[in-house]
Amino acid sequence: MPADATTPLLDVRGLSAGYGETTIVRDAALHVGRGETLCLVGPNGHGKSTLLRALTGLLPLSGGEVRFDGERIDGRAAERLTELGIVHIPQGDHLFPDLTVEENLLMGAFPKGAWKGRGDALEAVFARFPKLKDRRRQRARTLSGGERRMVAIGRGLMRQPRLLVIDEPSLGLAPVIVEGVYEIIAGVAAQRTTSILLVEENFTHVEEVADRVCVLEMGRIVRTGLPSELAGDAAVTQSYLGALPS
Amino acid sequence: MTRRPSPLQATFSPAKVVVSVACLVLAALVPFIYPSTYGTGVLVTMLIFTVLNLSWNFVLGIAGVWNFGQLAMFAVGGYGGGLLIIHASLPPWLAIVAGGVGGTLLAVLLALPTLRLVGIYTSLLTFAAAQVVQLVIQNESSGTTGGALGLPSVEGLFGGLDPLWSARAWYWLVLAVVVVVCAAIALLARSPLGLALRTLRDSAAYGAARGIDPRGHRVLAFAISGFVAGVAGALYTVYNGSISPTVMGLTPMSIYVTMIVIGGLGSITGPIVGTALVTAVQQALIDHPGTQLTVLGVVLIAIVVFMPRGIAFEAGRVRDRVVTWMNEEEEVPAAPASPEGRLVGSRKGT
Amino acid sequence: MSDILSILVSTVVLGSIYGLVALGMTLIYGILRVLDMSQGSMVMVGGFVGWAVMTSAGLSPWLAIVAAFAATFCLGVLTQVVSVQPLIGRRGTDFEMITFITTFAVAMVLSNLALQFFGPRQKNVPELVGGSIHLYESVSLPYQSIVMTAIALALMIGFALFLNRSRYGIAIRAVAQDLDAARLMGVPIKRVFPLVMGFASAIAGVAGVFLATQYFASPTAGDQPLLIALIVVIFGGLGSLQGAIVAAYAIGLIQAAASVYVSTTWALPILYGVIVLVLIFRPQGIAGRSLEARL
Repeated sequence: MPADATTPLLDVRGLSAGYGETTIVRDAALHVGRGETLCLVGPNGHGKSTLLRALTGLLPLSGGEVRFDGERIDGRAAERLTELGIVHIPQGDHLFPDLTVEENLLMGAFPKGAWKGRGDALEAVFARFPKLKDRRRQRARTLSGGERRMVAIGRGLMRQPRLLVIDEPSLGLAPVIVEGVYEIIAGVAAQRTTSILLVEENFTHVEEVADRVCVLEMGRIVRTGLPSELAGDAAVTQSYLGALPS
Repeated sequence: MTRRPSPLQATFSPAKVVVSVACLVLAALVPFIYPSTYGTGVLVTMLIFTVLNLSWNFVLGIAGVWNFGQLAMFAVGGYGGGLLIIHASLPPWLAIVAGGVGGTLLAVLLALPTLRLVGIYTSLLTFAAAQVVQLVIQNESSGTTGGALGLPSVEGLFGGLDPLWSARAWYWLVLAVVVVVCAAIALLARSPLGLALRTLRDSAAYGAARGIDPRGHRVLAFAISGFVAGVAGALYTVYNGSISPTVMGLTPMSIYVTMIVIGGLGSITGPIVGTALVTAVQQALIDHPGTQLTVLGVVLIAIVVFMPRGIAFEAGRVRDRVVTWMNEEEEVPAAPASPEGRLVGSRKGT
Repeated sequence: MSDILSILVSTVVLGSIYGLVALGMTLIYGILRVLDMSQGSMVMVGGFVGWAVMTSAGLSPWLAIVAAFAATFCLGVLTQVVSVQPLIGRRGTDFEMITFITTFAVAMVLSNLALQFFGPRQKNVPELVGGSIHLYESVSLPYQSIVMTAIALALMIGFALFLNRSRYGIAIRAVAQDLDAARLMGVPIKRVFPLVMGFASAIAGVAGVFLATQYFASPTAGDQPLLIALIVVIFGGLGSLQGAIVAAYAIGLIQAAASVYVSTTWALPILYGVIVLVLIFRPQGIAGRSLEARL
């Protein structure tokens, strides 16, 4: 099916996935438009990371389909998906500890095409993250938590991704640092050149960056809508506070 | 339901005892099947190496310690026993036991510096230490060890018998040693000591959490395997009448490692199976001595890739599957759940 | 004075040769977590290729070096594919121990094949270049030593540059540090691993040509280099490239000094004694990390 500007960049229908016999995500449906930022929220352990891993080829699907720019991509390996412009920034950064900041960023542009433009991409990232430019020759293991998160995001941007998948950018960071991280994400979102699928447990900043929000509960997408709608919704707040196992 | 069997019961379950005794009887009769001095001699050597491999498998496979210096203990046992016979006129029987003690001493000495080390570093230390022992024996100029040529003639056992019966006597002697060592290791493996060792092998962190002392257990594992290796070495010296540093080289080491891995690291019958198989291959290729190592090397890699737990384990799997298949036919059909069925059943019962 | 000079000359030559073998071994350990016991065989094969090209075919020594590089590169790739790759990711096995054993088996096979094809006798290999510079009294510096050292240094520096500057070089270092992240970046792991073992074996092969010209080619020519490479690699710290290079010259120095002041036969046991001490007191060597070595 040929894609045009109106078809969503990422279209997920009826996706089910899990580990072995256990199905974690059931019949999930969502879509991310071009230049749009979608935030996936939900209590911990309800399948957000599983869904992301299924989307980015790290986990096989047990049902449903995933279309990227009109093309079916479910079943493809993670390495292949990066070629299409899908960049997954995993939980916990996964930086290369003994490579310098600059080398870590360069690895983000590893694929041949991206490698050619690495000089410009590097400058663009440094422009966005001036602190990283100061630390470019420092080894990644010597950076603070917030700086590492910035390197992780910067590394993701090196390839000019069409879809940026970010898994819990606020994880393990102090609130003040999280603000800085979300400023960056908001900046990328505002440019509308990259679509973003963001997974977040911390609802506070979601309103700043998301165009739409999906709520994932017990492996199912239970609500989709504008952030303002959901923020005021008693059901959503209950799913965060009241859905604790008794 | 059934109570879990004690280590003694598990090791010596009726089925296993029957099978083992049958094998033992067969093994004891082998010298009569091949009444050749040469053939029996090959078997004696094979059994001596089986003892060595049992000891090596205990520390490497069961305790999971990267010990690549086992041959040093073998050599110390062999040289120690031999020297005691030559210089102290010790009777050969005692010398064999003394060899075991020598092996233990070296083993403990070797174990101590490895206590703080992990994995490869342990292997490198034991490897390097073994090289030192070999080089010292080889280059030692006082004449005690005889240098590269080895010990001068050592008095043996069963000298009064004719060659065939002497070989047979040796065969039964070493067979008895193999049986004793095997039974001992089997018992140990299931004892708390064995369980502790295997826990430490599979997960050192878990073992520490359960309060198992990794250092003490490692020394113990080394000591036990050192004793058996030393005995094997002394047996070697007394049987062959001499020993030289070549027993410790890289080539013999490769062959013994092959024997253990092919048979199955960490299993008890593994070394027996492995040593027998490799000896068979060597004998089959006796006319092409140059190809032996190539064939063994290829077989080793193939086994590791395709049958990683070794032949003994895979054979056990096959046996289990056969047993399961045999048992399937004895399944009693389930009693019907309908009232009529139950009535019938209860009437039958009255 | 002439003692010191001859020690220095030996150190530089030995150190360069050991550096090549140790560099490969430490790289393989750093990237693949494999202690490759077949590296000694690569040295041996290199020696035979050198003999075959120079003596048997009478061709140029430079061709011998290139041929040895190519032959051992292919062997290295083959070794990885056959004895390491199938074991990667296998659960329930101690990967490092089992690859130690399988690479050991490869060494066994290669030595034995060499014995079959070339026979047990040592084969003389001519010098790469003749002539020498007279230094002092009885000490002279053969041009051959200069050439070997130059090539060895060039290879080592080239390798270091490759790893630090080039696209694949950084990727290889990344793979060693976080395999999954490297995958996410699109690094083809299945290609990287054999390539690394290929290159490491190739420089060992070149070292083999050098050693053969210094001594001779024989099926057991790889045994001692393997053991010494192990010593160097631990001394320098498993996985550390700079450590391996520094350690190579240090070990070369110890061996040269021991040969002059004690005796050649005791040089090796002394080296082993040194390494036993290192393993006891500082197992991570010069540049390794202590966490990895200790219980």
